[in-house]
Order: sequence, then structure tokens, then C-alpha cells
Amino acid sequence: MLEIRNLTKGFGGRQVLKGINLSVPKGDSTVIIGGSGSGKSVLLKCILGLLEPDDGQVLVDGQDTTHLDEKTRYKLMTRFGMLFQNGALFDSLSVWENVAFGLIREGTSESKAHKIAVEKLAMVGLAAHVADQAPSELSGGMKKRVALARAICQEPEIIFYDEPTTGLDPITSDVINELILKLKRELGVTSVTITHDMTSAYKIADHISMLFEGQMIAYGTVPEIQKSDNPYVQQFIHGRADGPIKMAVRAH
Amino acid sequence: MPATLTDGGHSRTLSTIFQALELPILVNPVTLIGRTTLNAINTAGTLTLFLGEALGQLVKRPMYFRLFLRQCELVGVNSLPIVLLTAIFTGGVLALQSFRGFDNATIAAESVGTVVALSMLRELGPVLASLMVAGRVGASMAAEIGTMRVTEQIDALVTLATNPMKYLVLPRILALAVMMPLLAILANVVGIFGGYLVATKSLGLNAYTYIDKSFASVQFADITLGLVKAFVFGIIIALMGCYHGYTTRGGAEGVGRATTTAVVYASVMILVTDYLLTALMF
Ligand SMILES: Nc1ncnc2c1ncn2[C@@H]1O[C@H](COP(=O)(O)OP(=O)(O)OP(=O)(O)O)[C@@H](O)[C@H]1O
Ligand SMILES: [Mg+2]
Repeated sequence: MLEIRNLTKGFGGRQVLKGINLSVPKGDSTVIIGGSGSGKSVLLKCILGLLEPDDGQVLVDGQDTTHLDEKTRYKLMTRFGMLFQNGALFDSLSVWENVAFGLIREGTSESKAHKIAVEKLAMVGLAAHVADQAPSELSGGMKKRVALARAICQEPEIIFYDEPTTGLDPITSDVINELILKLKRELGVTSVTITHDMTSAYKIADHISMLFEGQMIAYGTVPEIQKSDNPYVQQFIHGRADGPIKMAVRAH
Repeated sequence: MPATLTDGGHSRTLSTIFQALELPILVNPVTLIGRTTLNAINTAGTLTLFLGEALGQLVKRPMYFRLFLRQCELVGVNSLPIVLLTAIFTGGVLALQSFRGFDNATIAAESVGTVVALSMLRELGPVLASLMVAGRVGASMAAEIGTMRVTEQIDALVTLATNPMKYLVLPRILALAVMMPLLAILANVVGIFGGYLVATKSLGLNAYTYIDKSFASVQFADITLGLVKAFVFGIIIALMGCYHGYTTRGGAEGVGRATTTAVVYASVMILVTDYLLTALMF
């Protein structure tokens, strides 16, 4: 379904991704973990074509998508949903217009789009009165959930979640986890999720992949990753300061 | 043209020119001229591609007609007060200044109107209105689109299968191309009226002669020249605002830089193009 082959990306001579290989089967929920700044968000943007990879391929249903013409690319986008790490809500539009953006663009009537938007907001645990507010009036966690509602609004086949539970309280986080599972179960959504929240990762993942220094250093099911004897993986999933991964901080 | 969804193709060559211009002493003049010329060509190419990409969206569905109307309101209607205020004082000052130039009161009565009308229509109406709009609208376009770039809203548009060129850039370019000539017409009328007020009320010139001579001297070509200018300036303003906004890098500072650059380059380009168009269509 989704396959990444040997993808590389650098910024001004600094290689961030050094040959990523990853394959996400149809209907699978793959979670990517990895240190802050390791290039997880960059990877998603490369898959979506928002950043141009330096090299490598991104295959969707066996077809390379890295050199598509404009029309095909935008058509492909209708199959994707993306939750941005920082929400990326349109601040000139109200909450419901954000959520229903794609619907309105496709010609759905305003009243219908509004109704659907309110339903989607309810799915992420937001009350109906939020719909008419401006994004700037919302808290960080609420913005994130509005962005999530927008990403899933048109029921895309493949959804990319960039840290869906960051900044949310534990209960809301679990609501979001349940939502991600529900979409997968009921609509057969294929998803790639970036998260630092290991509880969430264990709950929603079919497979976990770990990104370290520009490469995928581990891949497996949840139990496989938990039992992995890779010291990097062990240090990361248990969140230990001591281990082979050295943070660039100097101890005093 | 391959569809890159990134802004990678539009290099910031304009700033490179200016950087190049700032260190002339250490560089061999021939190298400098060569490099500047190359950069200028490069920039013209980049901007043309950007404009072409935006205008290319004209033929593709869906059309965002409402966005276009909204922009017309934002750039046209909301710019009226400042444009008209500028125009009325310009007309008045033109009357005062040109009156000083004639030592014979009879000739003055016959000529002030002509000077005001021709200067407004051919030159000051479109140019001053455009400069005001560049400061107001060009800046806000660059700031808005630049903020959308750095907060990933433009990326979000793409993931929602909406081409930002079509959704953001095209309506702005079209709105300015349409509204700028209209603003210029109003500026002309108000400017000429300002001149008339000063000439008749303050300088005591004969109202009938003033109006008669003004109308007699104006030819259709003077009006079209001014409107063609306003049309071109409108496109320049939108292009500079959108391009610099679209290619913004790095946070709030980047947005600030994009805004300043958009206004400065739009203003300079307006004045240069003004000269070229006048020379061409004289
Ligand atoms: N547009 C860009 N220009 C230059 N460098 C960039 C750009 N985007 C990302 N980077 C760099 O790429 C690296 C990876 O960034 P990325 O945002 O993918 O990290 P991440 O793994 O998502 O981290 P986090 O978990 O904190 O979100 C960082 O070092 C960042 O500085
Ligand atoms: Mg990230």
C-alpha cells in the first residue's frame, strides 16, 4: 500500500534522512518513534510531497509518487489526511470552516458541511459551540483536536498523525487513541503515526519503527519491540537518560 | 512545468542582487555588471514562472470566485480612503505649484487645469495610488501568506487537495489587476477636483476657463495610458506581495523581512515600470 524506498533528505548539506525504508501494509497502523529532531516530521512531509526528497521513492499502491504532475498529485492528496504537529489551522477561518474545508471545496452545501463538522468535532471530544469559534481562541490541546477533526473529516484512506496526543491530558489522549483505532477498524484506514507517547504507541500500533540518525534501526510488532534486545530501542522505550543514545547536553 | 508542492523552485534571487550591489568596491566592475545582469535575468525568470503558474490556474476548475470578490473588497474598497486622500492633496498641490510657474495670470488660468489634468491622468493618479496600495495591500499580502507559510498552513492547504497558487495567489493577483485601474480612475477624478478647488477658491482662477481648458487638453490616450499603468502596477504589487510571502523562511523574522521586501521591491518596480511604459507609449 505505502512503501518508502531508500529515501534521503538533507538541509543545506546536513543529512537528516539517510536512506529510509519502510513499508506500511493496507489497513496497518504503523507508529514511528525516535528522538526529537531525528527527522520524523520531515519524513512525513517527504511522503506527502510537501518536501522534495533528495533521493528515493515513495510508492502508493506500487506507483512512485515523487514525480507526479500537478493534477495527479492533488488527486492523490484526496486519499490522504494529515494532522500537522502544530495543527496548522487556517486562522482566517472559523473552527467549523477549518474542519469542513475539504467538504466545502468539493461543493458540499454549507449547512451540511457545518453539520458534518460538528459531528467530527464531537468525535474528538469537542462541544458543538466550539465550531463557531476562531482557532486563536482555543487552547493548544483543543487546536490539536480541531486539526485532527480536519484531517479525518473526508474519511481519507491513509492518515498521517504527527503527534496526535502531545499536549493532551491522559483521558483525552485515550479518547484520541480510541478514535484512531475506530477509524482503522471501521473504515480500514491505513495510518502512520509519530508519537513520543509510548502508552499511545502500544495501544494503536500494529507495527512500531524506530528512527535514529537518519535510518530505521528497528521494526516490529508491539511485543517484538518491547522484547527487542537492541539497546537503542530499550533505552528509548523506557525513557532512560543512560544508554547508547547520548543527548547533546553537558552534565554539570 | 512539473508540479512541485514545495517552494523550492523560487529562489530568492532578488535579495542576491541587492547583496551584490552592496559590495561594489571589492569586486571587479565587469564581474559586478555581469553578475547583476545574470541575477536580474534569473529573478525576472523566477517571477515570470511564479506569475505563469498562478495564471495557469485560471483555466482549471474549481474557480474560487468568492475569494476573488473578497480580495476585491479588501484591496479595493478598503484602500479607497487613503488613495482618495492622497489624490485630493496631490491635485491641490499640483495646482499651487504649477500656478507659481506662470508669471502671467491669463496664461495661468488657461494652463493650470491642463497641467493638473494631464499630470494626474498620465502619471500621478496611477503612480501615487499604486504606491499607497503597495504599502497597504502589498505588505499585508506578504505578511498573511508569509505567516501561512511559516505556520504550515500552506502545506495544510496542499494536503487538503487545494492548490495554494489557485486558492491564495490567483485571487489576489486578479483582484489587484481589476481594482487598481478602478482606484486610479477615482484617484484621477478626485485629484482633478482637488486641483479645481485650489485653483478656483484659493488662486481665484476662472472656473469656466479652468474646466474648459482641462477637458480640451485631455485626449483619450492620456486616460488609457494611466489605466494601463495602473493595471500593470496592480499586478506588480500582488506579485511582489504573494511571491515574497510564499517564499518566506523562518518564523516571525522571516515574515517581517518578506513584508519589507515586498513593499520596497513593489515600489521600485512601479517607478521603473512607470518610466518604461511612459517611454514606450508616449
Ligand atoms: N525546512 C527545514 N529547513 C531546514 N532544516 C529543517 C527543516 N525542517 C526540518 N529541519 C531539520 O530537520 C531535522 C528534523 O526535523 P523534524 O521536524 O523532522 O524532527 P522531528 O523528528 O519531527 O522532531 P520532534 O519530535 O521534535 O517533532 C531537525 O534538525 C530540523 O532542524
Ligand atoms: Mg516533529
